[in-house]
Amino acid sequence: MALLEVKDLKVSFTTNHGRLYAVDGIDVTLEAGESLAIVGESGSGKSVTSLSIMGLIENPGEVQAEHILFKGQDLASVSARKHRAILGNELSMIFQDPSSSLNPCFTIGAQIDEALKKHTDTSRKARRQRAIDLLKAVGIPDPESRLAAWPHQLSGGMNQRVMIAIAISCNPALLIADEPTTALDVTIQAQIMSLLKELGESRDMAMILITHDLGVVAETVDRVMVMYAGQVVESACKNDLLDHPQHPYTRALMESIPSGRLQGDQRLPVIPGRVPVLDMLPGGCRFHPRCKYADDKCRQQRPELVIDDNRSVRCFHPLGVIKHV
Amino acid sequence: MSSPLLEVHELAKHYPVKLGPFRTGMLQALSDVSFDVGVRQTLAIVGESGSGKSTLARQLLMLEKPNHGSLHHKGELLRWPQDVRSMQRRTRMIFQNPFESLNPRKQIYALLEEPLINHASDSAADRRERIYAMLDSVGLNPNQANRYPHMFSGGQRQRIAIARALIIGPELLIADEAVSALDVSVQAQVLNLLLDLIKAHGLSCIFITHDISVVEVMADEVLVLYMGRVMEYGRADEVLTKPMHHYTKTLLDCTPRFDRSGMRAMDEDQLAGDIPSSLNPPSGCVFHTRCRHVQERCRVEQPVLVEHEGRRLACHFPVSQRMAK
Amino acid sequence: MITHDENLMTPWQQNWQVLHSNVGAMLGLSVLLILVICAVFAPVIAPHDPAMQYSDALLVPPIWMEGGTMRFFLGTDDIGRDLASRLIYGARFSMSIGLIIVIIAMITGVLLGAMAGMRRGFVEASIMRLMDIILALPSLLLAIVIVAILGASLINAAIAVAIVLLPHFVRITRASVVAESSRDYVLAAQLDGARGPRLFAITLLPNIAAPLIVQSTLAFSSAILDIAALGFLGLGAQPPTPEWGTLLSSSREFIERAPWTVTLPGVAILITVMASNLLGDGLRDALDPRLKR
Repeated sequence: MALLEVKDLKVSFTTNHGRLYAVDGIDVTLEAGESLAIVGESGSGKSVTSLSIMGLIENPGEVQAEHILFKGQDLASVSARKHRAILGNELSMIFQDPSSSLNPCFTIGAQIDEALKKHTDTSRKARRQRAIDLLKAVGIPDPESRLAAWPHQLSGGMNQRVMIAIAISCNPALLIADEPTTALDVTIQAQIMSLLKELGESRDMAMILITHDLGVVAETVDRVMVMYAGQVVESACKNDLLDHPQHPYTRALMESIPSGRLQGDQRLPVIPGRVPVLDMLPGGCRFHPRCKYADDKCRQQRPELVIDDNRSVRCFHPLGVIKHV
Repeated sequence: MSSPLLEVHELAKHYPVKLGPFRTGMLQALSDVSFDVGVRQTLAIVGESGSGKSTLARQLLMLEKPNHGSLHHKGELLRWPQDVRSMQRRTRMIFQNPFESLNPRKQIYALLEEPLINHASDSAADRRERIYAMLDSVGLNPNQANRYPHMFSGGQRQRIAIARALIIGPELLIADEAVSALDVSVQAQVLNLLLDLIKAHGLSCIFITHDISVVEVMADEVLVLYMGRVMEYGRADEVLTKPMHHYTKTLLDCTPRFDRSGMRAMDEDQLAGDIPSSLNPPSGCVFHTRCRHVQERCRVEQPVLVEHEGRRLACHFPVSQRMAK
Repeated sequence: MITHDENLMTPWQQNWQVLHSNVGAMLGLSVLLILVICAVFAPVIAPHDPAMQYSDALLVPPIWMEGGTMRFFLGTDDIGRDLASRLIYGARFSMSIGLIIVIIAMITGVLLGAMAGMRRGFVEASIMRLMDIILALPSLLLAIVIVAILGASLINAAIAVAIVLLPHFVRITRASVVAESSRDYVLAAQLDGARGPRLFAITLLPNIAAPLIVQSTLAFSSAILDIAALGFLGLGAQPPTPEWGTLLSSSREFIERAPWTVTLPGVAILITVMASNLLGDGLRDALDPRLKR
C-alpha cells in the first residue's frame, strides 16, 4: 500500500471572478521512504498542493479530490481540522524562511519541547534529552548550550536545522519541505539538502520537496513532478526527467538556467510570455502560448496526462519519445 | 593606457554594534578591499551572508564614508562630500527585491521622472520623451506609464527598476542580486535585457550575486568576498574553470546543477559549520575555520592578497592543479 | 493568487472599495456630510435667526413633548431663541473650528515629525521630549492654562486644543518616517537625488498618509469635545455665540426645568463625535497595509 495516494486533487478559491482552481486535478503517489520533488514556478500551484495534503487549506479555499489516502485512510471528505488531527504525528512540514517560522519570543529549547510535549508522553528530563539528540541528529554543534539560545542568535542555516529537528521530532512518515533552502546561502544549502537526504534514508521517511530550483532536485530525490498553471505536465523518476525531458516546459526550464559563457551576441534561451493568471487561462493546452512547438491541436484541445512506463507527460507532442517496439 | 573607470583602494569599513548596555563591539564589514572596473567591463562580486557585499555596494555609491581607503574615478580621487552627487549621477543601482524598490504609491511615470528632475535639466516635454523611450527599450508599453507598481509582475518591476537606473545615462551600473528574487524563466529574460542594454549603452557593470551561473553569463572578471575580505580576484573564465582559493572551489562545487555531471560533491568538499560572526572574525586566514585543507600557518598568519598566475589570491596553500577534479 | 483586473485599481481606489463596504464608516461619513451641509447652508436651512428672541416663546419644549409646536420643533431657550436654528448655526462653529484645529495640528505635527524622523540626533530628541511634556500634562488642563494665558476666545481655544493634539501627529509621523526610511524605495529615491524636503514630500508622504488620515478623524472628535469643554467652562466661544459647548454652559441652570436646552446640544456633540470615530475606525481598516487584498 502506498503511503500517500492522492487522486484528482482540486483546490479552488471563490473570488469575485468566480471559482478559480489553483490546483486542477492532480494525482500524487508516494511510497514509504520515497522522495518526490514538485517543481514549478510562481502560480504553478505547488505550494497549494502541499498545503492541501497537510489539511491547511481553509475557507475561502476548498479542497476536492476523488481520494486523499494516507496510510489507507481517506482524508478527502473530512474537515480540515479532522484532517490535521488524523495526520497527527505522521506528517510534518518545514517552510522557506526559518527566521519567520520560529517564534522569536521563545528559546530553541522551548520550541522543541513544545513539539515533543504535544506528540509524545514523556517526562521533562526525557524530553530534554530527546531534544539534545535531535539537535545532534541535525548537525548542530554543542547542542546542550543551544537549547537556551534564541532564534535571532542563530544563523539562517542553524534555524533551518532547528526547524528540521522539530519536524522530525515525532518521527513522521512523511516530511514536506517547501522551498527549504531558497533563503539560505549556497554553501549552507548544500549542507541542508544533504541533511534532508540522510535523514530520509536513515529514518525511512518519505519526503516531498517543493522547489523552483531544478538544481536542488538533481541530487536529493527519487522522482520529480513538474507543475504548470495548476496541472502536472510531467512526472518521472529523476534520472529520466533530467536526461530526457519530454514536456517542452520542462525542457525550456532547464535551458533557461544559465550554464556557460555566452559568445558575442548570444543570449540566454527564454520562455516567451508569462505564467497565465488563473482567471484568464488559455484555451487548449495551458502552455501553448509560450511553446515553440504549439500547433492547432494544442490551441484547441486539452491534452490529458498520458502515463507510459512509469513516467507521464501532458502533451500532444512530447519531445524525443522513444517508442518501445 | 587610460585609467579604469573605477578604482577601489584598500577599502575598509566597520560599524560599532551595541552588545549590551555597556559593551560595544566592532563589526568588520570590509577590510582591505581593492579592485578596479574598466570601461565597458563587467565585474561580478560573489559572496554569501556576511561577506560585506551590501556594505561594498553602499561604499561604491558613496552613501557612507569608508574608515580607510579610497575610490577613484578615471584616475581622480573621489572626495567626501563634494563628489558624492556627481558620483551618484554616474553610478546607478538595481536592487534585489522588485516588490520593495519601487514606491508603491507612485505611478511608474513619476518613478522614472524623479532621477531626471533631480539630476538632469530637461524640460517636462523632454522628460516625457525620455521616459517613453526608456520604457520601450526595456520591453514595456509606454502607455502603461500611469500604472502603479503592484499592477506589474516581478519581472516587469525589475525592468522598471532597470529603466529607472539607466534613464539618466550612467556610466556604471550596480546590480545587487538583481535577479535572485525572480523565477528562473524570468531571470533569463531580465539577464538578456541587461546584456543588451549594457552593450547598447557601453556601460560598466558590477554584478553582486551569490549565483555562480549568473557570473558565468555576465562577468568579465570576478571578485570573491568572504567575511569582508578578498579571497580571489581575476578573470571570470579563468577563476570559474580553475579556482585557486578553496572557498571559491567550494562555492563552485556547491552550485546546484541539474545536469548530473556537475552534481554537488556531497561529502568531500562540503564546508563544515557556519559562517563565523563578523563581530569576532577568526584569526589568521578568515576562512580557516571552514577550510578542509587548513594548516597551522592558516590559523596564525593572515594571507596577503598577492598576484598569482594572472590573478590575485589570498591563500597560503592554493588549490594546485593536481587537486582539481 | 493574482487575477486579472483587481490589480488595475489605483491604491486609493482599492482603499475606497474597502471603506465603501464598511457600514459604520459609510454611516459616519454620511452624517458628517450632512453636518457639513448644515454648517455651510445654515442661513438657508435654519428656520429662524439664531439671535432672534421671541419673548412670547420662552422655554418652549420640543415637538415630541407636551406643549411643543412645529414652529420651534426643537424648543426654545430661556430668552426665546429657537434651539434648532442655534444648533444648526452652531454646527458652523463646531465643524469649522474642529477642521481648523485638525489642520493646524496636522501640518505642524507632520513637519515636526518629519524633522524628527529624518534628522535624528539632537533635533529629534528635543522635539520628542517636548511632545512628551505635552502628553504628560492632562490635555484639558493644559488647554485651560493656554487659554488663560492667551485670553478667552474661540480662536485662542482653538490654538490651545491644537497644541494639545500636536504630539499624536508628531509621533505617528516620526514613527512612520523611521520605519519607511529603511526600505529600498526610499534609498532608491535618495540615489535619484532627492534630498530632505523633496524626499519627504514626494516619496515618503504618500506612504505614511494612512495613519495620519486615521488620526485626523480621531483628532477631529477630540477637537470638538475639547472645544465644547472649553466653551462649557466659559473659556472658548463666548455667549451669545451658538457654539455647542457654550450652549451647554449657558443652559446649565435649566437642566431640571427645561432639560432639552442642555441635552440637545449634548446630543449634537455626541452625534458628531460618533460619526467621526466610526469613519476613523473604518479608515483604519481600509488603510491598513497588512490587510492585503
